This record gives sequence, structure tokens and C-alpha cells, in this order.
Amino acid sequence: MRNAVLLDEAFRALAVNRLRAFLTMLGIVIGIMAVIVMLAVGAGARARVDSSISALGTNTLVIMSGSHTTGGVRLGHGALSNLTTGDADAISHLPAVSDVSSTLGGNVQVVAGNQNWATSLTGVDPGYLRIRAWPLASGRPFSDDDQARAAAVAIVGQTVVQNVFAGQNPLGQTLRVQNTPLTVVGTLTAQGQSFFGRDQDDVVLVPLSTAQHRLFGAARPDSVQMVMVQAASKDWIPYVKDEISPLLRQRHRLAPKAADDFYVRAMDSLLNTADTVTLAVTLLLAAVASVSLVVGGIGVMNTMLVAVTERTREIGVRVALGATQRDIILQFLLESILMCVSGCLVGVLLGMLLCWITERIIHMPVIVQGWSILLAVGVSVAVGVFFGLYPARRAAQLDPIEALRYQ
Amino acid sequence: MTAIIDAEGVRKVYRTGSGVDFTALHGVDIRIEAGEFVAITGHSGSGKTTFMNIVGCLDRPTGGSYRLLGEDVGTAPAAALSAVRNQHIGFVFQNFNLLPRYSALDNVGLARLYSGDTRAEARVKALRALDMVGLASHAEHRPTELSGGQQQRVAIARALVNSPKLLLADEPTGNLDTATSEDVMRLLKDLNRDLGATVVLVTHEPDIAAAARRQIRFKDGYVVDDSGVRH
Repeated sequence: MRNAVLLDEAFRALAVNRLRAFLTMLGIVIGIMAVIVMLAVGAGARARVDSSISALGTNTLVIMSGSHTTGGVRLGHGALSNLTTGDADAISHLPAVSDVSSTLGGNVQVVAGNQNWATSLTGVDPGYLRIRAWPLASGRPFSDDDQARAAAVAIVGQTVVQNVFAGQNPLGQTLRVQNTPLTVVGTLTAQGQSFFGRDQDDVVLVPLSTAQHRLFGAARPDSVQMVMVQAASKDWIPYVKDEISPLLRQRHRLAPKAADDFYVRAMDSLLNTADTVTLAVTLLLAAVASVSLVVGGIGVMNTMLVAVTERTREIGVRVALGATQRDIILQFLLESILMCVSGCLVGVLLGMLLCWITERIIHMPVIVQGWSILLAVGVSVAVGVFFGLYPARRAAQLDPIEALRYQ
Repeated sequence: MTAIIDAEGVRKVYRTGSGVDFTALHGVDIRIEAGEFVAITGHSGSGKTTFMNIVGCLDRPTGGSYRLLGEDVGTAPAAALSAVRNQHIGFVFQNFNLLPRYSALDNVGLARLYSGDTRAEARVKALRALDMVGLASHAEHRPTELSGGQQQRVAIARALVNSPKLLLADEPTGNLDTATSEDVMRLLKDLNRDLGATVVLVTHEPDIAAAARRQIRFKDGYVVDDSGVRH
């Protein structure tokens, strides 16, 4: 029998029991829909985590001064003030280092006009915004001149703009920190909450020298809390990390057996960890969803077994009229594949609709990936073949003499 | 001239569940020439149905040789037997065996589909075959909308549509009343005479058998009587 005719015969057979075919398909529809939605939700979560970690800079290293113990009380990283602008300068001369910015910050109360607001203030090098990939919304970045003069200038985040300047244009306005007036020269674009839930826009940036000399009187005038180092690319991170340790140990004149008085941390490891976690969650969701697909497949097998039993006589007649085993197998196999593929198409459409609803109404990020649709179609064909083959083979192996006599 | 059916020493042994062999046919020799009209009679269990299944290539002999149109089909592969059934044999069954969800036209056309026709080609030939049995006007009717006699005529049209050399009818009148039976027998005789198709029918009704020119009687797996005109 021609393949086109076989397909047509399969369609006709399904059309006879429309309700049964529909209910069997429903199992596949639900399974595929679940897989599509779960993969999309997983991909959406991953993209969100990735973007919030990338905002920290994936090819960045952070060096913090080490811990310090005073009278049995261990202070955290950054407690020692032994990291200096000189260290940062030395690191910036290492190969494969593209940008370096030291930071020194603290929590302050800022005042402008009749408003005041508690926020975090950070002194940064001009390279800071490049490393953070954080564009300005208005105004200008800090210049080398600002740094050299310890200029009383500030760049403010959107939360500060809202709370201190009531949304008015703050450029040129004066912001008072303790007793130091700062002129606002720029505003940052909104970043939203960080992956860890901190409001990244609640920030005031000043030149590092301004922070060191005018705002935070540190133990040493050139000390910094943290040095952010950007490598030329993500692949250079391990190399740069290995270079920094000996350099700083030498600069800090540490004895060979002494512990490091600084701490180096790569952001990409955080990204990798987060990726692994979200991938595991995605796979778990997809695994749960595919259970329903398997249940749908069992439904297909059940329907096909019933169909083979019901149509025993028909199979006998077909064999007597000259059907080969291949004809019989293909006819029943095509019926189960047809149910699975049409169920899959409906499932993909409903899944995409559900994703759209999830995004619009629940505001959960979802990403329907092209490959997940191809995967769904592939899996449903495989389910059709896997669960259809046994009933089809049973049909083809019927003894035609018995089949013709079957009541 | 080659015989249509040439069975020599055909044996069929069934292995029963208890391991005891049951011999349904003890070496049967039958030769049927082209154009014959043969009735095979016998009580149930006489081996006549077993013989018909072997003749129709639905079953294989355990021993002996069976040649159909000069070809040894007793040992041919399954796919070759499917082609032989499709091309050379037309089956007519006691219970008609029409597919209930197909129209008369599609039931007849089914045999053409297994010859590799498209559905459109099959329909043209099916309509011609239905015309030969006088049912062209009922082409779109489903089996349930037809009388028993009409259903059997549709089944005969299906058997004819591939212009086979051999028509095998297993109790074709078993489910029909006397008047309809005579109709069907007349149709088979006409086909035998006008198309030259060889007809072999199995029956246990003496008056139906009497319509055939040659009668072969089976008993306990042996041919006990082979009478009538031979070509």
C-alpha cells in the first residue's frame, strides 16, 4: 500500500472514534504542555539570575582586605585597612587586567534641602562604572581631575533621586554628607534589586580620593576596602587570580608561612553555582513534567491495544486482501504517531499560551526556547513509536485464519 | 496447460496444547484446472476448511507440495504470499467480512489499495466491479444499509476487483435465505462462465454443491469422492 494511502487510512480510523482519539490525545497535550511550560519557566529563572549576576561583572575579581581579630572578636573581611591605592595600582599593571577600581564606602545620612535619607556612599575610581557595566542616566562620569583634586562631586542612584530630590533633576544640586557639600554631576540608570535582594539604586558615588580624604578619615590615608579587578575576558580569571596573590603577599611583606591578609573572590564562580542550581531546578521540573508525558504515552498504548482487539476481523480481512505485515504495522503505528503528533502540536500551542499568561499576569519571567519545541515534537514522535509499536506488532502477527473467525 | 491448483500429498498437522499431534489432512492430491467450478463438501472437521486455507495461502502445508499457477507457494516467504493473495485470489466469506465503517465502494477498493493504487484509481475500478454485480447504484451505502444478499454481492465485487484467476468462496450462502442464495450462486456461475474465473466453493448444503460441475468430498482428512465433469 502506498504511504500516502496508509496515512489516509490511519486518519479515517481515528475519525471513527473521535472522542476516544481526543481523550487519548489529551494525555499527550497535557504532557507536552507541562514540559514546554516547565522548561520556559526554568529558562526564565536562569536568565534572570544570570543577568543579575552579570550586573556584578562576570569577568571580575574582588579583593577584600583580610580579617582581623581583636581580643578574641573576629571581624569580617574588609576589617583590616591594609589594602591600599598602591596595591590597586600595582594590580592594574598585571597582564590581562583591563580595569581596576578601588572602593571605600560606608553608610551615611545625606541631606538636600529639607529632605534627608540614609544611604550607602562609595568612593570609586573612574573605572568603576565600566567594570560594573553601569551606564549613566544623565550628567558626566568622574574624571581623573576629580580624582586628583578630591573634588566634592557625586553621582547618585535612582532611589536617592526619588527620595532626596523627589524625582526632580538633581544635576547641579547640592547634597550634604556630614558637613561636606557635594555637587551632583550625574545620575545612574536604574538597576533594580540585586540577586540578593539589595536595592542597587540606593547609592551615592564619589571619587575615591574624596571618600578617603574628605569623608572617611581612615587609619591610613591611602587605604581602601575593596579592589575590583576586571580581566580581559572570563577565561583569564584563573590566571589573574593566581598572579594577584604573590604580588600582594610581596607588597604586604608577608612571611612565607603567614596567612594571606586579603581575600580574592571571583564572580564567575558565583555565576557557575547559580547556573548549576537553576539548571538542576529546570531539569527537576522537566522530569516531573515528562512523567505526565509517559502517562499520556501509556494512554496511547492502551487505546491502540483496544483498537487492535476491536478490529481483529478487519485485520484478517486486510491480510486476506493482500496486506503485508509492513502494511498492518505501519497502519497502526501511524495511528498512534498521528495522535501523539497532533497532541504535541496542540500541547505546544497551549503551552505557549500558558507561558504568555504567566508572563503577563503573574509577571514571572518565561523564555520559550526553540529547541524545547523541537524536543517536544521529537519526544512525542518517539512516544508514538514506542507505545504504538507493541500494539502494531501484535496486530501484524495475528493469525489471519483466527482473525477472520473472530467474533 | 498449467493447473490453477496442483496439490500433491498435502498434509497438515496441528500440534495441540497437550503435545498430541492432530492430523487435519492426510496427503491430499487435488488438481483443479482453469475455468472449473468446484464444490468442496464434507462435515465439519473433515479437513475441507483447512484445505481451503492452504489453497488461499492463509496457511502452509506441513508436508507435500502445493502449486498455485505453477508456482510453489507452500514455501514462499510471507510477503510473496501477500502479493499472491492480492493478485490471484479473491475471497468470499460466509459472514461477508465487509468493514462496517467503509462504504461499499471503499470496501471493494480496499483490495486495489493493497495493489498500490491511489484512492482515486481504486474507486474507478471498484465502481466497475460493483457494476458487474449490479450494485453500482449502492456504491455509497455502508454495509449496515444493505441486505445480506447485497452485502455478499459487494464482497464478491471486492473479490473480483483485482481480476483474480481464482475465486475462493467459504460457505458463501451460509447466512442467506434460499432465494438470495440462488441469486448469489447464479452470480458465481455467471462469473465462472463469462470471465472464465475458476471458482472453488466450500459448502455443506447438497443443493448448493449440486450447482457445481465437480464435487470433491472430504472425510476425516481424506478425499473420499471426486466426481463430476473434468476438463
